[in-house]
Amino acid sequence: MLKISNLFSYYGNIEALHGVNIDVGSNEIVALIGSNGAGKSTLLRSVSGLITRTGDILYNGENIAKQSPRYVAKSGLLHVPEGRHVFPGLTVQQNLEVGSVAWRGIKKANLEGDLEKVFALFPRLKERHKQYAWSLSGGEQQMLAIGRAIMGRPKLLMLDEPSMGLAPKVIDELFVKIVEINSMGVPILLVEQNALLAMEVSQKTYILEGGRVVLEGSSKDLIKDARVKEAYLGKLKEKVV
Amino acid sequence: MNLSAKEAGQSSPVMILDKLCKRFGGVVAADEISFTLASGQIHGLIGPNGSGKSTALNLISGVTDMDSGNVILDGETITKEASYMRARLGIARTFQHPRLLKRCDVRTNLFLGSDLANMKKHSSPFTLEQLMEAAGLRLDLGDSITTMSYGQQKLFEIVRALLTNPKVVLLDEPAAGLNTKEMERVEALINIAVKNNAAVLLVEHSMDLVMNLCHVITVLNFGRPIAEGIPEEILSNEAVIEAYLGRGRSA
Repeated sequence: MLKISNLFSYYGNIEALHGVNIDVGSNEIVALIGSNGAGKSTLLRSVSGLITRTGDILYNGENIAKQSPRYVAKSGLLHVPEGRHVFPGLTVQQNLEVGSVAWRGIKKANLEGDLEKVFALFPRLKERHKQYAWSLSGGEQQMLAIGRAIMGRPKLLMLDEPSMGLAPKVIDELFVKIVEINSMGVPILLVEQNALLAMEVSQKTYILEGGRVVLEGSSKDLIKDARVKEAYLGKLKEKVV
Repeated sequence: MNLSAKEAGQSSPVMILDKLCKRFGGVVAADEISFTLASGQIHGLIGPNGSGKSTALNLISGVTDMDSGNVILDGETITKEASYMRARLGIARTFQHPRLLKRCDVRTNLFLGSDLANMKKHSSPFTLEQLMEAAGLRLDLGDSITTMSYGQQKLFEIVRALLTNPKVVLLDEPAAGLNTKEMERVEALINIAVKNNAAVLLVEHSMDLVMNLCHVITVLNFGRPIAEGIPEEILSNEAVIEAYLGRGRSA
């Protein structure tokens, strides 16, 4: 579905990713974890075309490594950015409509049907559809950001730190929904700071460190792997006796 | 390389942080942060994103005013001193992203810190040649500052800080964005500081560097210290592991 190979990314002169390879199969949830500054968000931003990158990004067989963010989004590869970025001065429903209209054009959009789909998934958004987005709680804003992406009829979703700043109970609810979206046939590339949670809901996990994949494998195996802890906390060098 | 806990405990405390508190609106950025820095010791300050590490450095160096708490240097409470006074009293720092005067030459940038710190009164044990060599910098004093790479600028900032002959050096992510060679140079500079009996407070995301360089580590989470100990203790501390890896579904 999505095959990223030999991806290099740059912020100005600084190389942030140094040849990353990642595969997302159809119907998979793939977790991308790693400590601060490891390059997780950079990877999503590279796929979306928001920063300079080289390498191959095959999406359904098409190389989109040189395409614009608009093109990438339009082709159904949708990015829910870190920090949600909902439009605070628009209502919940308007925010959702933007997700559809922005690249589909207002005439072609099947707003009613898509809205119903999002409201069925997140009933809370239906209750609050007339409310301004700024008045929502953090968890609701995250639902809205994901709902907005669903309005774009995603063929693959990229979620950047959906749990950030949310209470544990809210996180649990949200992740039930993320799994539900996946079970509707949408593969998900999930960037998460909560590594354990991400490994629990995913089939495959990649651990990034310093812009490289240092560990990858089935989430079930990695969740028990001591090297995951080392990737976050480092390890002591063997002492010379 | 690591001192044992006992050895580390024998070095004399030069700085005491006593319940530093800082709020930004509703966010508690520093919540009763207390620990002690000892001369000749490298103290690591780590924690996940937004845990208050940089805030702590800003409170210690006086870049940010604290709401409550005290900073005590050599037995004197310096909580009310402005940042430039703290620099004169022997607190030097670097920034996460180098802050250099882009239109000034190497000389002005290098000696800016030590001039402000009234260095003329007491001479530095560090020679410029020694520091520049450890930093791998080959520069003429008249050179433009803009010829340096990002990594070189970060090393240059450490040199500038050490030239003030500080009692306490605060380093904010000195290794971030550096290559392996440059990281070794950061290590060399830190070791020079330690050899000259400075206390080093190291905020750093490169955990391998922290774990292998620091004598003592304090871990922050949500502005609060959750653990303090030698690297071995920190690596096996449950609260620390949870702070970094999360805790899975609470169900």
